[in-house]
Amino acid sequence: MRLSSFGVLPVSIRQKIKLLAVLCVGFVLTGCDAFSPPEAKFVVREETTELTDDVADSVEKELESAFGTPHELVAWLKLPIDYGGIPGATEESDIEGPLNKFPVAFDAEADEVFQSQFREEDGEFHFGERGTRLDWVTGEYAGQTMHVTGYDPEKNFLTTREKMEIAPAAGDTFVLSAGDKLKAGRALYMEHCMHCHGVSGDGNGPTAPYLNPRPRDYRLGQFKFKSTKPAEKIRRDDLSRIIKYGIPGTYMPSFLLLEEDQLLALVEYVRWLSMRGELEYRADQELILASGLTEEIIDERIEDGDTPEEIQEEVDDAVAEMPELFDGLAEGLAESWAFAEDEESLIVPTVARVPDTFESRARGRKFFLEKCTNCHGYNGRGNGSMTEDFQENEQTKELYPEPGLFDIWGNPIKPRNLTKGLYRGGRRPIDLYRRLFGGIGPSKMPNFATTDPSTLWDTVNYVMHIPFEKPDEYTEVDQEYFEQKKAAGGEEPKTADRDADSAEIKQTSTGTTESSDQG
Amino acid sequence: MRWFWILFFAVCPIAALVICIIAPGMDWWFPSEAGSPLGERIDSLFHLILYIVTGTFIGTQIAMVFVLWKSSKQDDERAWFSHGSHNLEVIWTIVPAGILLFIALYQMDVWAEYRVVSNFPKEARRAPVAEVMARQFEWRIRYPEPGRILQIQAQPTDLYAVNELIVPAAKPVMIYLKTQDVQHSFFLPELRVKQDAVPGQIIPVWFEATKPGEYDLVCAELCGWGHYKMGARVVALAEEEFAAAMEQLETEQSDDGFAESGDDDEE
Repeated sequence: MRLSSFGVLPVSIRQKIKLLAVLCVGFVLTGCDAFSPPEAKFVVREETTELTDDVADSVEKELESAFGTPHELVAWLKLPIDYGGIPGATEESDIEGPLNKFPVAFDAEADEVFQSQFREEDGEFHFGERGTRLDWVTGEYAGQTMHVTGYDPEKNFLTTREKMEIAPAAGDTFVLSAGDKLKAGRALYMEHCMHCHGVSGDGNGPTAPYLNPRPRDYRLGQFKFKSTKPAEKIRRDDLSRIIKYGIPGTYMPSFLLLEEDQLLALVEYVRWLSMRGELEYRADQELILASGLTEEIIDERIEDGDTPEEIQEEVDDAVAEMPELFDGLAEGLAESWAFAEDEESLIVPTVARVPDTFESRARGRKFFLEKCTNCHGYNGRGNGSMTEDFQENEQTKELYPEPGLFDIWGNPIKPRNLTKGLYRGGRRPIDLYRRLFGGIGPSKMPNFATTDPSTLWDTVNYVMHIPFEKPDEYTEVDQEYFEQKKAAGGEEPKTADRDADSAEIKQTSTGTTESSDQG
Repeated sequence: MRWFWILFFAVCPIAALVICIIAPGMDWWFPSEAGSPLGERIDSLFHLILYIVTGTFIGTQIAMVFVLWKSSKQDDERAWFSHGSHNLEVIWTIVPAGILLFIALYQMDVWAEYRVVSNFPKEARRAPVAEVMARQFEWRIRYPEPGRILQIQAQPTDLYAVNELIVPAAKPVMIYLKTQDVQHSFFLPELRVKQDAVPGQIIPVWFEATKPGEYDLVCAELCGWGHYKMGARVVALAEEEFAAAMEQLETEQSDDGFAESGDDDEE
């Protein structure tokens, strides 16, 4: 009622026009700045908000000091991120202070970076009046930031905006334009990715609610389509591939037209966001599961008779130890992300692809019947029995309210319908081999890392041929398979088979999918 | 003050005239020089219309100025009111109608060659190079295996790409245009090709890139929030390079990751 009374206020048309005129003049004078969009912020995980206030604040503070804000990024050197910048060192010189010119030496690769990123004029690189930043790493000025306005590649002289009282000693190291790559990545991310993946990489940007499947939430540090062994992180190459070629069957489009250095910068920013998110996630897990510092648990403990002083002491300890906790977690994280780039993490088949013959595909079909039908269904249509069962949420240990499979982000997922010929993680044989060998951890597709590689290739051959399968192409193969099973299974079936068998019984009992135990 | 107004009103027609005359020579109103033979003919149609319009413009301006100038000399004669002239109206209806009819007939050849499948160059029609599937928000491309003919149904030997359509240069090529979701439009500004992709239809489109090079491929039909993301490229290659590119695509697509493992794994 109160609102509607506003509408019947005795405002004449003339007054309205006046008001409009005033508003227009106001807009013209203030410009759009008066209505600029809200500041971009990294969102806080839900788990962090569940922590008791002091601890939550401390986590947020720690994150901000390690990663900064979207407006002011912080390069935490502990993480295996290529933040960009050109490392260099000062050379011997007899110039005495005060000075703003000194001789330097750069790596061999620096030349190329200068050529590609900066403007050269009269044999000298110019960085504008403000200059590009120069961060001293060692020596007299260690930790200080100066600004370089020019670089003479012939004589190897840097010119700084600031005057130095004392000349830097020979061998002092510095980084020129530090953080350039991360900043370039941020600009590209905000342009191309943010509206789906969100500022924090939480997969919750403005367009995300309209998409199915949902955009990836990077903050668990987990990705589905990677070329590394089951337990390893994703590689830079995998991320570039996904950005370059997109993911058919999802809303992730191809960004093929990005330049190579743009692509690399973007990949680095995504890795950085992912590490940031994962660090917060792991810290929360530690503080909740190991220390039990959520508001809820504390309330329970007070009810059970613990004194608030005792608890406050624990909280204070946790806050005091927060930097150490973050350091420790970051170390583990850095190691795993760095190891993903190692050759040892990569899935490389030890056997070349088995020729794609009917015999090979028939062997693949048998493996498929053995291991894959629970989810992908008897005919590979993605309608296995698991899609109709109620699954347990691994974190809450409760059954999901809806039947079907859920990924680690809690989104419902469907096992791929293999008859469509749409391969999200790439359609090269090696892509499918890696999917089988490494599984798809986040979606709970199991890995077959211990399976014989030629069997995996047989299965790849079979799976790649499903879209072109003729009716009854494998009838005999199937019969043979079930006869073999019957012959072998007079007694208890092997443990590995049990799941598949019980699933087949379930399939027939639900009566919705093809019965497969007629053999 | 009188001279100011005279000059002021003289500047506009003169500027328009100058622009009309020099525009065809400069690449002002086209994205670039036409990159295809048919594109050149389409451009020449634009130019023809420009000449007709320019001629009409000059004629009407001269007539108007003449009337103004003549009446300004006749101080003693009063203006008279006219309620139309049947003859005049017939003339100024028939003349423009004739011009329009002329344009309609004159452009029919180009239109037919551009749009009517039976008029497409034979060699293009015989072997479509690829199927271009538009979807929100990218272009998915399917080529036949080198040496095979593209089928409407996907084949096990087909080659796939995204956002980069490779075609042979200096030769008419045809693609099948499809869309997976909503309406898109296959637009090659430099080659003067624009064709909507309509759900449920397979639309043949042909074009010819005269010179090898990269050409923009964009979506010209607002297809959703990510419409602007649908930037891709058409790469026209010389015949041998095209064959090599297809072969490379085939090698990449059949990659089993084994070769890169090196020799130590084999031993």
